[in-house]
Amino acid sequence: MPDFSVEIRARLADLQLSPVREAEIVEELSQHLEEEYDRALSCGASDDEARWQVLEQINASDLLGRELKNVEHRISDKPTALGSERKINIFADLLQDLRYGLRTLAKNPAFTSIAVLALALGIGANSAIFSVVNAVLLRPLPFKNPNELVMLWENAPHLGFPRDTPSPANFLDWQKQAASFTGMAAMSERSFNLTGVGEPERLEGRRVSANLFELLGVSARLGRTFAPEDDRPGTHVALLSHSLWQRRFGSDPGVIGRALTLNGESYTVVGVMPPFVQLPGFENRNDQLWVPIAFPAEEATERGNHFLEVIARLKAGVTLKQAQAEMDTIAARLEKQYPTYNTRRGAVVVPLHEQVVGEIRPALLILLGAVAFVLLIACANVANLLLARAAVRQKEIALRLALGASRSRLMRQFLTESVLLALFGAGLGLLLALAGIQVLKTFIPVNIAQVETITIDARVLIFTAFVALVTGIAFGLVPAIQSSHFNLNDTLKDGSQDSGAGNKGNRVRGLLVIGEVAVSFVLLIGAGLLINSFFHLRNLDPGFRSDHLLTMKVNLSEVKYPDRERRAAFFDEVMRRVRELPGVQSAAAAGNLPLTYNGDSMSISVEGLPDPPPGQQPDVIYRAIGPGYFATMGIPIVRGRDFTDQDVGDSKDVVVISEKTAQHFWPGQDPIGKRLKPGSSTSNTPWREVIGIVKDVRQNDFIASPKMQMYLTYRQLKNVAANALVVRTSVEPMSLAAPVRNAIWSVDKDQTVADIDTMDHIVAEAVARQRFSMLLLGLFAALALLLASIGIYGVMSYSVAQRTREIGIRIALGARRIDVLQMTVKQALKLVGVGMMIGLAGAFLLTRVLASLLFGISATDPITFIGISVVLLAVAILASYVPALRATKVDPITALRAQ
Amino acid sequence: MLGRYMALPYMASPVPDRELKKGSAELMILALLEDRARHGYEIGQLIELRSRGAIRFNVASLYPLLYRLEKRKWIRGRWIEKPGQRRRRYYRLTASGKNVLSKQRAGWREFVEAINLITGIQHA
Repeated sequence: MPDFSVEIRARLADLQLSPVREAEIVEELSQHLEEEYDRALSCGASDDEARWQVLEQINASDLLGRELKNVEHRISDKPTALGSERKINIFADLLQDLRYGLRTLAKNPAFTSIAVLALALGIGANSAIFSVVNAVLLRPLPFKNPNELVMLWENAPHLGFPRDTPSPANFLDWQKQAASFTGMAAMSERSFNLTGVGEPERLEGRRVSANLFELLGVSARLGRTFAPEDDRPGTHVALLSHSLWQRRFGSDPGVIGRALTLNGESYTVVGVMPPFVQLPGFENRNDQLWVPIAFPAEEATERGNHFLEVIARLKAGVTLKQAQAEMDTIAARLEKQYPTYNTRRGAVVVPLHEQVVGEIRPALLILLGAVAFVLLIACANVANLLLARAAVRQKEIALRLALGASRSRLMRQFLTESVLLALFGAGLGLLLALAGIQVLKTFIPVNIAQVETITIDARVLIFTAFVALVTGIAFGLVPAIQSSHFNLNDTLKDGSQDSGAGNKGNRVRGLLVIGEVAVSFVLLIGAGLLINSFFHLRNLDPGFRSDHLLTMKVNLSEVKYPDRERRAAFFDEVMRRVRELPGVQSAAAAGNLPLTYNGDSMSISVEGLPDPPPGQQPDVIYRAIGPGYFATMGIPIVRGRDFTDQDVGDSKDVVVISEKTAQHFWPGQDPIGKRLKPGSSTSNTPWREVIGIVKDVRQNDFIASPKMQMYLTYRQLKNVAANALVVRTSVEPMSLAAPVRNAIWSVDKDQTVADIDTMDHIVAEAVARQRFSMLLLGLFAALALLLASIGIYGVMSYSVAQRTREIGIRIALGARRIDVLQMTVKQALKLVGVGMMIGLAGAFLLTRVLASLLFGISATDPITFIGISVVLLAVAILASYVPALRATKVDPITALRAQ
Repeated sequence: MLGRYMALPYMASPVPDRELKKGSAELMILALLEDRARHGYEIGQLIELRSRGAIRFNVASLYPLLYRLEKRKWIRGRWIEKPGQRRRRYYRLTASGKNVLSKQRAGWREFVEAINLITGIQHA
């Protein structure tokens, strides 16, 4: 057979095709010619004739060359020198890197999906927590120049109130005397019974100074805010919140000018506020309407009754320090002027932002730190994966280096790949964050401000992109540097599995595992401390039995029930009907329920004891209750008796005190029969005889130790009414909600019933913030543990796979399986041990920031530290056990032959 | 650019139109690749066989045409190895090639019918 390829190649010579393309054409065409040649022979042609016939086809007037010239491209005239510097085009390189990176990732779906998932968990958790931090801590409050806004408090540390609500007279004096502020406004909580439109409803709201909204820089969405002339007693105007307007008035723009019946009195609606206007205050509340504060004359001179919240705007150029100094001067002056009320009472200026977010900030920052740790662990895992893969890609890297790729170019390629991974992780992470935020919103404590506004906004997106970029570089850098530093010759030689890079890679992998273990140890300790602390909290005795208790707010209208007789008649009838309901064991009228209210305390004087000097009067929490309250609440009576139906207005005035009050005033004595009265002993209020002593109850604050308390029966009080109902049930409490409410409505169809809740839930809400921190940190720690154990597992698997030959030899030389198992687990434990030592040191340092969140245990609680160490060790053993088990199954013959 | 294929010797007068010839050559190749992938020699053989020897493709015109169709992404060539044989380059029709084929077929049919109407040649 003649060789046609020479002939064909000669005719292609002028075309200057690339060698590869030329070879292809020559191969294809000569095949064709050979077949033609064979056919000619089979038709009876001689060798020469057949050869001539075939060559005729390509000889004709250089047809082939001309035709191909139109189709095929020439290669460049300039010769390409290997390894030469070519023009640097970063953008083109980047595109090339991106394309190549995408192809590489697509080719390894298992690797890619594991890495992306790990990163998505880490980045998603970060985005979710950051979106909370963003909404709560970073986003400016929705007021004009919010940085100038401050809250002003009285301060009475000797009574346990570092920030106490100012009294009206003090506020009015501040307002007159202070020059640091452009304005000062007061607010006071107020509940309203809305009647006359549909079901009666109790609405939370506030009385506010007329200048408040102007001071804040918030204008009405409809109508107007308050005008100075509204701030006079007798003006009955109201501003509606956006949500109330939507809910109760169907967003009717005609609501302006309409009359509302609030607490039995007629008010005119003058405006509707925009959505999400939450006035700051002592507690974050959700006001539904506002009325002017319009101090009546007797209130304006009230100095001993502290119930206001005061907000002010600093004048331009006035610093917080200067304002504080001025307020100190004013407070000192007022102390001298009114020693009875103002002794040891100072004034504090608190930036508004600090007031709103101060309490939640530490928890949020700790959580942000915790998720950053989780991401760090995820990065370590992905870096490990990349290292393992870089080992596999050594040949590719070596080849590219040999062909003239620069090391920096290679590093760039690797970084592009890892940043790509991180970006995919961030994309998926954002989806996770979106879901996570919904979950977060459901168990974030309601008293955290601005929960509604938690979303993924531009800032969260930028944060996520930034995190992804940093993450990508962080976990990509180590493998990139590694891969650009190995010995070219070793790698290109065959069978060089344990090259220098391999050993160094193992060392880096080991370091990464140590880091992962250390970081997750710190997180686990933090979570362990919080969980432990939370159990301490939940085991606190609230002083009452919270199970099977149904509670609700029943605020009587002052217009309809102006005196204690009418109030008593109402409650008596309601109690009679409620107690008849099936499933009800007992019921009682109550004052503000424990853990739902932060006020109502007064100083008292005791018969036979001199009045303490001003500023040293003891502060006693008081509650107005009805008979049967202690039995219903499950508050044990230590001595004496409960109130009875005989303790009424014209009988002897009586009081029940708590153990702490008894010990304070009558240490070592029996207080029963002793007498006390509110205020100073010279006031004209009657003495009250102590008839009973009950256990201390956590009234205002679940965590702080209980303060002194006393209970009065509302039937003997002219100015204080019971405002709640407690019902002890033999069935699930909420199942009685509707029957009890109907019983109340059967007595007065216009009576509002609000905040129907179980006592168990109220107690749970009291520790909601702690539970929130505990759950989240626990979740992140669990995630960290999972990622770390995957990391340990991965590294041990890789190490076992690499050492198959060595293990095979050991087994062949008589090592028992148990020896191999021990050897492998020991190797893992060495890494884990070092990691734990570092983690231990880190935990001792870092958990101190947790101290403010802990209750009942120290930040170095030994039980937590030991317990967590055991857990981590157990997980580490488990994670290394599986690869170790695989090591024992190594067949020596196969292992040796494999080399 | 004459002689893209040799239309000899039985045709009384060769079709003069260059575009027509070019178009018809493309159409033939696309049509032959419609059912399955074929290599170049097979394509040449089939054209000769099915035209009863009236049309024969020269190597020098067949392959440049294949490469051109490939460049237009109407067909795609691939080296395929079969046991006991040398590797060969097989061409198959791409999706856009299928599209072009159906259009060219319709165009050709219209053209032939128009010619028939004018020249009064009866359809065989």
